[in-house]
Amino acid sequence: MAKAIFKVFFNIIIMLVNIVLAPINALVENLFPDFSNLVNTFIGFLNQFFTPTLNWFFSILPPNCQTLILLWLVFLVSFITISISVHAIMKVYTIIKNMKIW
Amino acid sequence: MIKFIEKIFSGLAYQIGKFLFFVLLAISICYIVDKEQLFDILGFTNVDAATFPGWLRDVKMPVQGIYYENGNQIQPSVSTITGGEGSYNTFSYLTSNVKKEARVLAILTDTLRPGFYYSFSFYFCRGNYTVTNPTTTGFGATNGVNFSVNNANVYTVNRYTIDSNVLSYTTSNSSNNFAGGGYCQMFNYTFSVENNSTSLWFDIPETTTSSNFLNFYGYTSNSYLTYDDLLQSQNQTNEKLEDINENQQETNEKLNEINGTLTDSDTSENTGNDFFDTSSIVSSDGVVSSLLTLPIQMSSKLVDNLGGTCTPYRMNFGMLGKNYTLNFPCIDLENYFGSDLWDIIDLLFCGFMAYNIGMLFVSIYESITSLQDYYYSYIYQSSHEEHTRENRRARTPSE
Repeated sequence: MAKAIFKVFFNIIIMLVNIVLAPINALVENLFPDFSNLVNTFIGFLNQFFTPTLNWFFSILPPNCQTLILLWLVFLVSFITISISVHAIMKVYTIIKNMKIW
Repeated sequence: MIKFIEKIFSGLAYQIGKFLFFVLLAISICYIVDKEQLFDILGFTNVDAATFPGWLRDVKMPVQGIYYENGNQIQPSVSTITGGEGSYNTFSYLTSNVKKEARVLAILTDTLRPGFYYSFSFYFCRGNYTVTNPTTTGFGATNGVNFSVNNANVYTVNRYTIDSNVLSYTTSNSSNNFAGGGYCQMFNYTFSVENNSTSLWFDIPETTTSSNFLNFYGYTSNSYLTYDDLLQSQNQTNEKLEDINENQQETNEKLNEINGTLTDSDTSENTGNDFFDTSSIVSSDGVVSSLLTLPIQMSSKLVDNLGGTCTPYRMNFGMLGKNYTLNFPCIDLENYFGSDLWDIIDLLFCGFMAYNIGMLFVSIYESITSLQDYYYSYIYQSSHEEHTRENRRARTPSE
């Protein structure tokens, strides 16, 4: 049950971020394709090394603790992602708003 | 609003930093444990009688051995074991008063090479155990062996090897209590080596019984890939996927051209709820969104293993031309502490976490109230200054 709730929550956030950042993603990928490959390789490296290591670390903890810590981690990660996204979007909006072409 | 978010962010960053520091500390401890071969601190407990996976038949004899007890070389006796599912040839050492420094130099017919995992299985048998039908296997004398001991306890093992060529190893053991006979304990010893070698030292478990009986049964090997090999294969796979995607795009364009000439007759309703797909996370397509949602993706993979059982984890990587293996053993603390104490530890840990989270929210609330005071004083001061300025203008007569 907890897993399903977490998954839904993650899907919603990732969907929203993808929708909002779609034009910026397209811009970066078209202008800097090598940078995109580098970032994807780096993300794959992190997924390869850190995720199984963190899984092993969490498997040592008691079961209820695992759930509680992951719940807290999900809250922190989501809150920071949302706050950074809002901050960045507002900055970009301010820059675009102040551009003289309007 | 932004200042408020930034103030909160600094506190949360500290919490996340502490968490990541603990994770990196755990990783470094595991690395040190692996290199120093301190697996003996984990040890094994006395095992109860359990069913063997089965005696091996038609065993190749890849190992000759030289056995040392208290520094003295002991000649093996060669025999055939009957029991379990059949009979098989082996070589054995019948020893007496085996002490802790007893060890075997196994001389192999094949060469151990780096890049492979080797799995040895061997048995220690103690107790009233009869060996019959002696046969020759190519070395040593042929002797029928009967022995019996009083102490039939199956053994505890703390460490397996002091061979400096061994990079890392894991062990497992099981035992079988033969009705009317003795105990045999099978050890499986999986290891990798740093250099080519045709011999291997390993220690025999400490025993206080008067006799010991050691048999070797074959070995297997599996290869493993280094991280560089994995990266190369991943890059090849990525290139193939890119080719497939390009072909797919061309196919889609052609289909769109064809669809443009067809009449629209789609009357199906969307009854599925694909937005809430819980089977897999939605992948981020863009670079910027991938970077931004990276913690969420990693958290999602952690959630996948929520409540899973403890399994050992090996991380292979190559660095500076050498291959290394980080071996994270399975640490099942519940067996070590007992289920009652483990539940108490769980409760205390959760209480500690709940307390810390609660205190964090208290500090957030205090931050909010202090910000309110700040803004109130700012507004009051600015309005007060304006009011004072107006009064001064009113008092000063204009010329």
